[in-house]
Amino acid sequence: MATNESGSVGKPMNRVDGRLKVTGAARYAADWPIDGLTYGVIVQSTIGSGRVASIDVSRASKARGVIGVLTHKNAQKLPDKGRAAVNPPAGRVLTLLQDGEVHYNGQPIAVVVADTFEHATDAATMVAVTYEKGTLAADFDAAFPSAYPLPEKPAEPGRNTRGHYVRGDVDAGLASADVRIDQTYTTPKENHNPMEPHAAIASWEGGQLTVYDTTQYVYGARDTVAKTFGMKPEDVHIISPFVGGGFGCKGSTWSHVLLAAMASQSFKRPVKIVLTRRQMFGPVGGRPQTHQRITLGAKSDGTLTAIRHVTTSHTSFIEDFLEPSGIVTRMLYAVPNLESTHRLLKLNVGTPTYQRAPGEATGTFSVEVAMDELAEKLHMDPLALRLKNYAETDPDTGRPFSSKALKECYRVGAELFGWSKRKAQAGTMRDGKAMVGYGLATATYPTYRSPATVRARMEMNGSDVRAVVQTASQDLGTGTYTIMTQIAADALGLKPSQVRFELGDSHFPKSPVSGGSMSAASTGSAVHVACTALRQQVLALAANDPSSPMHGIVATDIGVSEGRLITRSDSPATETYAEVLARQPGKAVEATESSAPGEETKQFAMHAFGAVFAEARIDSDTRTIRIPRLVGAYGVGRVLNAKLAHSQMISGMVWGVSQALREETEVDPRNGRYVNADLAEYRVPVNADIHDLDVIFVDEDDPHINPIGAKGIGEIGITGVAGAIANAIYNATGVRVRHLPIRLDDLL
Amino acid sequence: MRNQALLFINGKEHRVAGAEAFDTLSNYLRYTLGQTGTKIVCEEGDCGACTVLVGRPDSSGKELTYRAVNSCIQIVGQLDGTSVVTVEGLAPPRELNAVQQAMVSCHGAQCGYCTPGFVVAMSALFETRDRLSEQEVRDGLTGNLCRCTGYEPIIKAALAVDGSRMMRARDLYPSAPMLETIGAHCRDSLTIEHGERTLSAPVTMEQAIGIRSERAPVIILQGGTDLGVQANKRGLRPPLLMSLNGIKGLDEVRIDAEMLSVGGTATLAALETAIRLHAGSVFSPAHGHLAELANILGIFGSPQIRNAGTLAGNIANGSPIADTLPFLFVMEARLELTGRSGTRVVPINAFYRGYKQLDLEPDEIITRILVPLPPSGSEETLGLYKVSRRKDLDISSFTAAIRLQTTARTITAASVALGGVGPVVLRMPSVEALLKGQTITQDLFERAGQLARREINPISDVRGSRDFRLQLAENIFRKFYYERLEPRREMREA
Repeated sequence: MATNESGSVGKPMNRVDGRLKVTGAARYAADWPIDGLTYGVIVQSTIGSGRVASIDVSRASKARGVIGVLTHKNAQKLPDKGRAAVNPPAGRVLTLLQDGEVHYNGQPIAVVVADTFEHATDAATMVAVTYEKGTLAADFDAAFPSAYPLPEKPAEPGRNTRGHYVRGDVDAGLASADVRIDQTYTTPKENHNPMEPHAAIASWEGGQLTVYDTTQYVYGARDTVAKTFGMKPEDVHIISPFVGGGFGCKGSTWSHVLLAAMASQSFKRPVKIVLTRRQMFGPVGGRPQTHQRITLGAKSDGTLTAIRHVTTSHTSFIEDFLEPSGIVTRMLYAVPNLESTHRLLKLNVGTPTYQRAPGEATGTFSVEVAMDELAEKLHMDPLALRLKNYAETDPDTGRPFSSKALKECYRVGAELFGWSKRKAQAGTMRDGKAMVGYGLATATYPTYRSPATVRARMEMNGSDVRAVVQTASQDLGTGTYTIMTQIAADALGLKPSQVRFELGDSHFPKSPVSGGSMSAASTGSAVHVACTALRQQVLALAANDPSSPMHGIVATDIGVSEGRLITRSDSPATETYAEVLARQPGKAVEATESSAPGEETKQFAMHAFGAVFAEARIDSDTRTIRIPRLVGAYGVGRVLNAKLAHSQMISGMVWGVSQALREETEVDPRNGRYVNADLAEYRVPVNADIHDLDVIFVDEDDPHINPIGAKGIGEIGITGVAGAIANAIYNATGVRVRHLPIRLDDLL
Repeated sequence: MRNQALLFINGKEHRVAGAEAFDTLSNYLRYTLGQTGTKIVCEEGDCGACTVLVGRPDSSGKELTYRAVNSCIQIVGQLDGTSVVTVEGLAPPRELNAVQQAMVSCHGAQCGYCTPGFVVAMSALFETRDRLSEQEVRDGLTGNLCRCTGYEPIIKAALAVDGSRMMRARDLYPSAPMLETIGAHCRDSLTIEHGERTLSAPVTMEQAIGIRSERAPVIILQGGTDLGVQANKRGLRPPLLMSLNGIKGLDEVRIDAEMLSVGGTATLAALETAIRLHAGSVFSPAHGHLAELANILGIFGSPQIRNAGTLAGNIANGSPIADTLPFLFVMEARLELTGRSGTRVVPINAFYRGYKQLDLEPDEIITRILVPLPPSGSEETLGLYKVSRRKDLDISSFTAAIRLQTTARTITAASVALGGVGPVVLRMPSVEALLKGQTITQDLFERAGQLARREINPISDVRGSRDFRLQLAENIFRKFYYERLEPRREMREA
């Protein structure tokens, strides 16, 4: 990609939306003022399995301010029982009041709509429901024997999503090993808990539906809503300019969005549904619980001979969803014999979904703890063991990596952390009453990219010019607005302040889901090509215009800096974009261009890598666990905005700390109720939990990966952290904890 | 008698009656006024996204003092006579205050949904200060959750703020005219009725007791830090509510040589402030005990919770894991209860009769908490402990207070109280008897721990297992010994 020294990309530019956010002026889904707005409150099932025997809405319907109550008795019948849109990640199997079946505790069974939120809330308590209870399966361990292999589907292009995978001969590899580890690791159910609750406002006008949504996938929401109602996609307008965090749960369009649209259609009024925090446990997905059995074999010099990784994770009775914990194992180390398989078991819970680094977050915990156990058994330094098995090419596909700076990450991270001071013997480092330990783990996440289309327009803005760049991407707080502004500014030769980047509207050209850490690579590449095309158009206008000083100069010989055109030759000719446009009154200068991955995805393996080092301190009396230091060194290709990238990595690492020590969604096995469905008992870290976090980006020039040279950074930060912390806690205490979260109680 | 609550919101006068008086402030702001900058995230005071500034008259009565409060667990009626400032009102139109500016330049906002709450909570810290240390920032922002940033950019933003160059709420909204309006309007008691619900705000103690005697059960809504949560989460709508905010002088905190005296409406923040401002020899045992209490208060809930919640509320709520109770138990605190038949004083150790069962008549109100302080020159050691999964903003798994009176190295009296190990906070008479008269040794405290473990019968719940609590009950004595009594004391762990 063309860069110039005066460019904006790479600079720590402030967020372009910062001002709106600090003043409370940024409009999120629930914030839109809509004339005649009414309020929907979802009534949820109170049993985990069975069916609604009777539902009496007479009292609720008569309550003050109530406009109507939607249940499976009176809800409109949707095409294919509401399943016409199933096409993950956006379209999921949803429960949309098409029947009275109950698959989990907390499933939506009615929507009460009233003139005020308070009235709807009050009336929702008056809906009287009786049930016929079915057999309940809410206990993972009890359901374990029922696990079944994942139905095989062809792998998606460029993505290794096969459930069952074998290379070499694992039994032979294990038989030839001098040392073996065979252990089971478990990770809990988790919920994303973005700060912003899910919310939707639906409003019909004739056959057109507008939805103010909070989504990670504007086009996905549009298509899901349209197909569910049997409409043309163009008749659905999704508006989502700000998203208050997503982390995966806003990648799919969940039932409340469609229920708002159904209620709005039924009662002929705009309807807003905002989920309560409690309602965000169940109906909008979460990370599934996993049980991972890992068998490692190695020669006495540390050379891995075989890995077997069997993952069992839960799904719902509504839809199969897989947490692919074993996929990361396939490419992490150079091991000739490997088996990585996945199984599912069904529980009466809401369908789980993608949560920050789905697969990698849980897989790097188990594999990296197993590697720590192996290192100890071999009397090897854990870092030396990883270097011994370093994969120079992708062991999965055999392809070269487009770039891989992991060795440098290990070196730089170890040095900054002071890894050499680690004592190999667990439980031997002390500082007063604190037991101290060091641990490390490898971090990795694949680099994905999807096709994206961007429309870029240059127009007069007073006496200056402005570029308006539009695509239906999303900004979950990740900084899409800002980096796209920077990329556009550089491609056009404008100052960032001369660029207005717009997203979050389905009337804009298509961008992919903001998931899989691919927005920067996908949408960024398209912004680059669209803005480059726009620039060439304007330059051609100048070059072809006899009244321009640039007349006759080949457009490619013209450079632009801060909106001023200069020739690359010695010619003193110059003018500005504004002068060029001023001579073209009424003429739109606009370019719409797409960018998509190409042959490079077949030639290279594309992943970001990193090394995470953790220090754990455990109070010897109360077993209070503190993580005073965490160092992460990462190779992520080109860093587009140092401030944003740093924040994203820190954020991911904090998620890792939280995964290691805090987060667990607890379900009562007796009734399938979510026990800790609030932010008091579902603990996310507060600022005091987080101490020194150091992030280092090692230089990594990747000419193959995509036009902007950047790997995604949204997810890699969480990977490896829980493993590093578990290993540090072991090193401190000698207690090997093989489940998450690690609690004070585990270290008695 | 009035039927309209009066409050100012960003300097504008609002009179609220009927249904809206029972709305949470956050809903009122968002739904009624369309001021959507204030965000609703958890609806139970755990995340701070709904933080607003609430200004109340200071002790001089001439200025409004602003403090950060969670608007999701305050109902509009209980804010009668206050000035509320939201994220939209922190700076003049089209301007940013210094905190907002710093949050922009330090990238303190990512997804932006926690941001208004952080901005307001941080602005509250600069109401009275120009610069803050990192520790002060961290302590001041424990009530605000962020899921994106990892907090670092937010902390940096606060450290970059120079409060002396900032228009504060008290500068933006001159107190005098508002106080004049409030003074004129709020002279009389307030009664707001809506359907079956009534909110009363008497201005004298006699009125308050009258209301509480007339129509039981009248629930006292003071900080709302528990009631507000119950309302949002469990749909609790007590028909009869009473706020004591209108009663002047009931919020007084007094510390003298013999006694800590805390009024019935004094907030935990006011108590914390009074302790920190209290002059006295740093070597006196009273000073040490109060400092120990201040440390525990520092990890009680969050600043927003402490700014609203009261000590009397913590006592009346009666939770076995209430953070202040072990201290009050070992200090032999007394409660002044005022009712129809006058005032009586009850030792706190006799106040709880079972899980949330109190020795409190339906007409009685906790009007004062009296904590006798040890005389200067006496030899005393007090240790207060709170163990929770997360250091700040967390519900305790286990709490403890150990108090010793000693002569040389001999224990002359011992008091031990444990919380989270039974339906009420428990004194441990057998352990106290074991310790009394003995010389301080490590072995003695090992034995005390083992005895405590045998004496209790805790349950397992989401906050900790039975085994963990048993082990903590044992270990806490060892910790106390090492930290407070060991001859060559090591540096205390953070």
